[in-house]
Amino acid sequence: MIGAVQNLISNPSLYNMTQSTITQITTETCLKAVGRPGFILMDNNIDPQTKKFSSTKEFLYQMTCLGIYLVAVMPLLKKYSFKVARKLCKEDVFKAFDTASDFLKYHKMDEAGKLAKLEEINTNLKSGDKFVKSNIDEELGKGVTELTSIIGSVTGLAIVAPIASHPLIHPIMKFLGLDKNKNEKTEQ
Amino acid sequence: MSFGSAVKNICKSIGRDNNPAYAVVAIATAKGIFRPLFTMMDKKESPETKKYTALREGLTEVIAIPIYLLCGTLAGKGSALFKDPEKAKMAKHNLRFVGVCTAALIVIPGLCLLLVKPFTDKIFHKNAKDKTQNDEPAKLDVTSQTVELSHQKTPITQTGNFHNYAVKNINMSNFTNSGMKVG
Repeated sequence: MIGAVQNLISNPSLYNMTQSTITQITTETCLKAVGRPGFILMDNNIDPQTKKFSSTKEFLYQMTCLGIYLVAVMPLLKKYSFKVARKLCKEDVFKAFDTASDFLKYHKMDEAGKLAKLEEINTNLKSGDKFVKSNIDEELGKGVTELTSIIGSVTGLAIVAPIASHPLIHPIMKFLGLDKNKNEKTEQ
Repeated sequence: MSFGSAVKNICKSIGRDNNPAYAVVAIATAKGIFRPLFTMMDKKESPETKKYTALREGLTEVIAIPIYLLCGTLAGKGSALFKDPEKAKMAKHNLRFVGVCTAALIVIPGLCLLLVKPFTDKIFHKNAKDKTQNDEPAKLDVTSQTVELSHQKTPITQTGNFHNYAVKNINMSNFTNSGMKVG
């Protein structure tokens, strides 16, 4: 039992997966979407109808934020982060790969795969540049990808999503029959 | 060290090991600033509700930031059990992730339930109390028993204390709708 837990904790696949900011944010937001409504439902000081309303609203808010982050914010950042980095920093890693997605595919490859990929990039180059594996700073490339992901998640989850989620949540709540105004009117 | 090289060093550090606490702390900080700000900008809500909601949102994130860091760091200490340095490195990162997830799922919502509501209620207690006193309609108590008055136990004819009885208990409104109506 202890051995199985130790193997799970030091699992390289889990390590690689959780190194990605997108995985971290997705997992954490999903847990928040379960945890926060759960604690609202457990609160005995609130009446049942308000509990139902608040927990559904919190769940929808977290899921809408995650949806906006994954669908709207991240694709844009993945597309443009390397283009911006190329202008600011003259490193080979930004010249060799067009987008962060291309770099991440390369980063996940084994040694032979990486050499083959660089060979492929070099043959397709029109200029006389040649990229050597030792000049590709993978730590910098990965760092730029993750830092832009963190910036994107802050912008997406803390600024864009709260504004965008309000017009989305109320129609869904209405559709589910949990509209607060409607409930108040019925009570009156 | 120039700004460019500082950013480059930060990027390299994140590239080497992307601590799960970085992203969640950054989000919690931004949410702690922007969520109360958006709430205060809402024109539909009353000023009192806005203040209450903004304070609750701000406090939630103020609690969340140190808890994320603490849970991540404490969970990461478990990697000391691994003797192989490569495995210990992976275990440290994975345990930090587990710690941050536990904080998001249980610790922070639980602490907020325990701390935020009593704290905000304490601040807004006076206003809320005043409001309920003004807003609540008077309720007719039909279940409690009437208080027995002392003079009922002892007949007035025996005590001879007529002047007190007359002042306290005789209400003219009792007679306005009684007796024979004339005209």
